[in-house]
Amino acid sequence: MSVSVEDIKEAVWKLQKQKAYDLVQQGIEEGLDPVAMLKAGVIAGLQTVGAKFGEGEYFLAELVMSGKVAEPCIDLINPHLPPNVDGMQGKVVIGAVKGDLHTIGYGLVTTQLELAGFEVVKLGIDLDSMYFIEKAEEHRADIIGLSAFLVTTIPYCKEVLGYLQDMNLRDKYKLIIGGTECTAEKADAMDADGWALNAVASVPLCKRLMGQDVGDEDAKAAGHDHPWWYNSHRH
Amino acid sequence: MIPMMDLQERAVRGRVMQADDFDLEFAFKVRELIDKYGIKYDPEQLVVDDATADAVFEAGVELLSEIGLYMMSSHRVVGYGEEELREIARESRENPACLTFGRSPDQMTLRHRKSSDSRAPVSYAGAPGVAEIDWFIPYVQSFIQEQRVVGIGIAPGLAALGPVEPKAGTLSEVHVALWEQEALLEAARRAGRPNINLGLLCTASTPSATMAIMRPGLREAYNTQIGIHIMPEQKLSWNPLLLAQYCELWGVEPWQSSMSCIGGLCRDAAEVAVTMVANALGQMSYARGGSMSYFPSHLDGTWATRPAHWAFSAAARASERHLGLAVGTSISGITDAWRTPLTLWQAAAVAVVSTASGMSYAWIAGHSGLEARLIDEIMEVTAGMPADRANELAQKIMLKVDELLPSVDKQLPFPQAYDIETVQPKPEYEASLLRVKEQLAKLGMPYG
Repeated sequence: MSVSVEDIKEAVWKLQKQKAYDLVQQGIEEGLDPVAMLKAGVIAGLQTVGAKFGEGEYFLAELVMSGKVAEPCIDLINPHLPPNVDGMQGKVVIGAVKGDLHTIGYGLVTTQLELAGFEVVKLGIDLDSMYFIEKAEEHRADIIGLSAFLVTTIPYCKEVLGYLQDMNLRDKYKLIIGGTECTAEKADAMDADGWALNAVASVPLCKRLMGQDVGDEDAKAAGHDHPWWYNSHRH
Repeated sequence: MIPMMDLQERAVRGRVMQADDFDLEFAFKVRELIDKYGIKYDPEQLVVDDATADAVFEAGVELLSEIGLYMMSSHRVVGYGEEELREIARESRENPACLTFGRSPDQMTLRHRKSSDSRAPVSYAGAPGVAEIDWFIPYVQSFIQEQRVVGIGIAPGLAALGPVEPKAGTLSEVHVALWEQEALLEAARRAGRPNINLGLLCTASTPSATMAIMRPGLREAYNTQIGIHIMPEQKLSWNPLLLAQYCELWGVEPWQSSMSCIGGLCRDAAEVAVTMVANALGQMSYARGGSMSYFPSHLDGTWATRPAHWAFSAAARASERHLGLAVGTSISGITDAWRTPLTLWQAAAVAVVSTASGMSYAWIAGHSGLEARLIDEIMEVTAGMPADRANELAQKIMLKVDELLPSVDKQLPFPQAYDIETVQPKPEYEASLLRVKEQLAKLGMPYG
């Protein structure tokens, strides 16, 4: 029986890792459209996982698991995509700044962005500021995400921005921050590109920074009283 | 307690794992254990019964012995045997906590407490959060001048000292933290209690900065606790191990604190309770602490909800029955509601449930000295209250919380709540909290 993108989507949201992988492989052998397999299959499956998380049916473990289901599928599809079509919204490198060991927050942001179709590179925790820039260069990222949960680690966000400026890379990347003590005001004061209150809010933020239409939220998010903020002077 | 070099070996020779894989193994194991032990969150019974507490303890032991802790620095699993965890528990149970802080006449003793004790928990007041230079001292003083407050739980931190921001692991961390310690001592002097316990070190959080701050006349073993906790969920690094050793060598009581998130890797309050017990046992394996803060929160950073009450009660009662710890929690409302009536309603529910669950100390008891006083009164009058009555009262309070929660979204800044010159509550703020007290009395709070 021939495979359909719906089968792939279902295997992804049901977290059937081997089945999803096998279906994608079969789809490639049968000549199924790779763009459809990626967008209507794998990414749509991830979006279903996100919806189930929002409804309380799925939890963080399922989100983590869905990333593990999708990753080998995407690796299989990627070489078959036509040029200039990667199906992704943009690429994000993300991690916790120096001195910060909190993992849950940035892990959730990673998952939400992946579910929304971003390619995300998780860098880890307690990272040197320069490491973010090296990895952004290496992965040709669009966005650098910094997680800083403590008052004493927020200054490292400024340090990353300082390096970007001094290395003439400031306009090459969008830099976003988040974490318990981070606020829109602090992001604005350091001239970051954006801030999100939580993982869910990081999705429209990154979409907006990648130039996508976010509807009514656009105007609200230029101010400080919205769950996410973008730097309207720069974008 | 496991010998230091034994822990080192486990940390560098344990099973290699990616963090994501550890997270999944952890999440699915805790789900399995909840089913195996029949543990279920019950919003109708916020003060947990003996059978549930015992099940939570057994599941916690099994969780830690099956899963271990994830050492983030080495990407390895620090493993434990069930028997050694039971030995740690037995040792704790046979040596119930009796910890002394402060110096005479400001000395206090923190003891293991049972849920049925008529002796009320002690109050380590705030002052939590980020403060500003011009009201840092009055803010702290507002707590210390309350005679029932026996120590500070956690001091506020500065976001900046003039142009200097405290940056972890650099000289500015020490610079700002030193200013804060001097300010804390000044607040204590102004309140006439210079030898009071100053509690958990806050801005100085890295091992090097912590060690730099500890010096005679400033921070010493008698007035300090140092955080050595495991990060949620079950994540360890060298820092807490190093600081636990520092505490051991310098006679400082480690600040053990077990946290877990409802709705994250743990789906609900039942899973969080089991995880907090496992987390606590993990800390006891490398630190010789007598106290343990349990703090269940939701992923959005809120707490003081019914699931949080239940999770605390389950972990605290498990500890009461199987460990000798002095258990504490944060008796406060959510950040957005600080110094509004809602925060006192929320704190009242936490105080009632926690006091009836064997809590020994309240930390961050309130967001001003006045709030701390009112919370202390609640602990005093509910100590010894039977579980069913405490549950009934907490349920009534939570209905009021439900009513107020949607309408509050901004905290009242401390300088608007207190006159920072006289360090006395402003009349309108005082009146708003006293109205809550009157309403609590009408709901059945047994004020004398």
